[in-house]
Amino acid sequence: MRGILTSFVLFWDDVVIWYFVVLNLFYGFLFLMSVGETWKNWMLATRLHLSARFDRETLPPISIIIPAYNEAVTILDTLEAQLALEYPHLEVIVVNDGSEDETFDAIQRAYELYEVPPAFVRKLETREVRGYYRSRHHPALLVIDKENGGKADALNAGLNAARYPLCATVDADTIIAHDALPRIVRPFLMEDHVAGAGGTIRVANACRFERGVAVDPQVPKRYLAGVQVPEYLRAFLFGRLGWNRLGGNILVSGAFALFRRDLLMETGGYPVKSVTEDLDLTVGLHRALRERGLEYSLPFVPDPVAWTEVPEDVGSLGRQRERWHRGLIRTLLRNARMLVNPRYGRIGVLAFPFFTFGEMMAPVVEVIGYAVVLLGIWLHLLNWDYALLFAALSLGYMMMLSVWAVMLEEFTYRVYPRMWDFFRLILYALLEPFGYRQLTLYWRLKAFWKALIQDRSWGRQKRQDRNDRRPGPERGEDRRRVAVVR
Amino acid sequence: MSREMLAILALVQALIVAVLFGLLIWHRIVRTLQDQYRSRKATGVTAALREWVAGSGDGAAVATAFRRCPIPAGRQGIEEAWKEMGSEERERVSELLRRSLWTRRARRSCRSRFWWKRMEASQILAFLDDPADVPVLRERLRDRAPAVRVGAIFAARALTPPQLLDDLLQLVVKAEPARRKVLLDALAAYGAVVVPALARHLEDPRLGTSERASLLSLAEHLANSVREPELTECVLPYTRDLQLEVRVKAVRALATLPGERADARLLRALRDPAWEVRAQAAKALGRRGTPRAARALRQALGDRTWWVRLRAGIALRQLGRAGRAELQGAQREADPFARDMADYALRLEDAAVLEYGS
Repeated sequence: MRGILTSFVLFWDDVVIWYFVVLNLFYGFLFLMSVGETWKNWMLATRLHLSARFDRETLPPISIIIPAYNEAVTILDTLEAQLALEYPHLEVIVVNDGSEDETFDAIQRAYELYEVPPAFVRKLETREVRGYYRSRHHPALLVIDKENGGKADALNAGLNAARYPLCATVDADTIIAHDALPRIVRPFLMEDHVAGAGGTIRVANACRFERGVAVDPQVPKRYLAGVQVPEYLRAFLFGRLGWNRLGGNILVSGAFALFRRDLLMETGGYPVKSVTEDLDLTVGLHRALRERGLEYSLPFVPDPVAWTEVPEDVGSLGRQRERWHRGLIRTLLRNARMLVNPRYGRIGVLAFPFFTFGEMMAPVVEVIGYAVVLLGIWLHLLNWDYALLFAALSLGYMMMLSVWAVMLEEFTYRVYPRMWDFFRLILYALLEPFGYRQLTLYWRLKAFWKALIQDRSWGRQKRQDRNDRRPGPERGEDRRRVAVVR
Repeated sequence: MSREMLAILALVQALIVAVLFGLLIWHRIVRTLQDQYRSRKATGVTAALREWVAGSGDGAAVATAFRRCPIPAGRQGIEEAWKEMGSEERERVSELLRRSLWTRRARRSCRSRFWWKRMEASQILAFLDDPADVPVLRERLRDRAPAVRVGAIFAARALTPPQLLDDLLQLVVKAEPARRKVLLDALAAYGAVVVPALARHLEDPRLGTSERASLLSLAEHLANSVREPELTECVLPYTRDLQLEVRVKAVRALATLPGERADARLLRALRDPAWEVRAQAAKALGRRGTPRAARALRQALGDRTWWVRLRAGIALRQLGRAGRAELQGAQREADPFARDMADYALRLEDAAVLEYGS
């Protein structure tokens, strides 16, 4: 028995070490790729002046689609922010997805809605639309009242009614920065064949907003919210920029993205049975466009920013991360034929293997690693010097990547001007591997079980008033805004 | 992997983290100083130009403001001053800038081997409005770097007279919807001079369906500002094109173009075999407010396609009293399609009718 266990430990010891080496070499490669992309995008962000006043009128029109389900408390603030965006030709479509609260009534009262006939042929199947409404004060606002069918169904209803060729999807708890639209439209102006583009999502928890503009961006003081800032920076500024160079991202975040409407319509819109509709949509677009042999790109653009509330309590965060990983597992399995398939180009040969073995399987390998260490201790096989060196190396590597993401932020956009925020950001980058990483490991493992039992729930939503956490003179001056953690 | 190897890797990693820290601190200090310098220079340029335009400053002060001014800061300064100037003042500033040493430096960058320098410099040409820049702008419109091409389009738009008209028209036919809007705006800014060139390009037999449709989008775009009968004449033949996409675009363009012949062609388009064309024609007749279309639109209330019926109903509402009378007449018709749509259209609020026609 001891012999079998020893062989098991030695075998998995090698597997885990080599998995670590290969995966981190790839991260290193991604890290290098992100340098050139960061430079290119920074030059474009600072030197191609699309938002300069004499050019603004020429920007292509955009329809913003906001799906809203039971958002009575937030929807007016969100709408106020979106309607105040600095963009010349804009249409804001709110889809009331059969809310059980007063979402629709609140909009009707505030914007004096009147019913209008539908303007376009309904190409995507959705739950029944009860009516289309426009505002007497804001010609740019269109409200769709429909029966409940989920977020993807609401987005599809918005796509059906959108009048412009570019559609931005925005979560109802997300605030787009005032200059984000002229920035996210940039790739569509520069190149043909851009199917969609994603912007950066930043943590809004400690920021102060005035009429939808982040006037005082800060790094949250609370650990759980603060530690997500370098995590988001790493995911967006380094991971997705790196993937820009390697054939495109397989995830364009639904919290803030811009797509060509015609392509979304042709590929069937948002998949309605998904728990991560943005990931499913992006992978579906890659798949459909590759299968048709069409030339396309789905770039990530780092400078357009949308601010979102991240969960601050362990329960909400856990549900969110478990759902994200469950969505990843289901999407990758559903599209398994793309894995290492040259027909899908670099998405099939590079991105899919990385996301399958590097992202999806990472928690499983990590847990095996911990089990092997424990067994090694029990069997007196553990070389303590080696194990400690290995642990230092892996933790150090993670810190290095986080610090690198902070550096990309600091060298380019520098959203947090205060020195204290800068130091806090570095501190969180260094603290992330301790405790937080292990928590996310647990949630990601749980996702395997939920995926196995075919759980399709989104988890309970927790509402939280941003201003309740902000004692001081600004409290009560901000518009009240409640975050919905999805 | 040996223990020694791990130790070396850990050491290298620790060194990299330490270097990154050092770089972060150094960068925060240097960048703060650099930003302050650039902002000072840009503000200086803006102030000097404003004073010069107001007559309280001289050319030497402007030259001093531009001395050692980084190109991005100079551009930012000009742009800020530009916002508050009228066209006459802008012309004077363009004249002044054309002679400045700083501009010469910027012009040289138009042919730099670095794309970001070419991009920045192309945008500066927009402030100069100099026919001498046409050859370099023509090169930049076809630059290998997409960002430079966008910068050049904006600069080409500012050129008077429109010497890059044909180049922009060639780009329009190939552009995707988002980029087409920028090009259409650039061309529409030229006004009536575009019409003969557009007619010439439309007649090109080598054009494909979608390319011809793109050019007809330009006609629609131009129709908002140019009300020349020549524009109507150049669109009319395409309302009978074999390709649906071309017919739809032509009918859309006619919605705001002047002339009796446009009315007659739209009335004929109401009998087009494709419902998309009939629906567009009904909408166009409503927008034009053609009273003699009332009868034909009433007939369209009984169309087999709901969208045509809807647009005919709304168009009748837009025709005012004559249209309302036709709708009320249709309420008594035997045709249930026409009756239902007339009921629906009469129930619509005025705001909804106005909004739909816009």
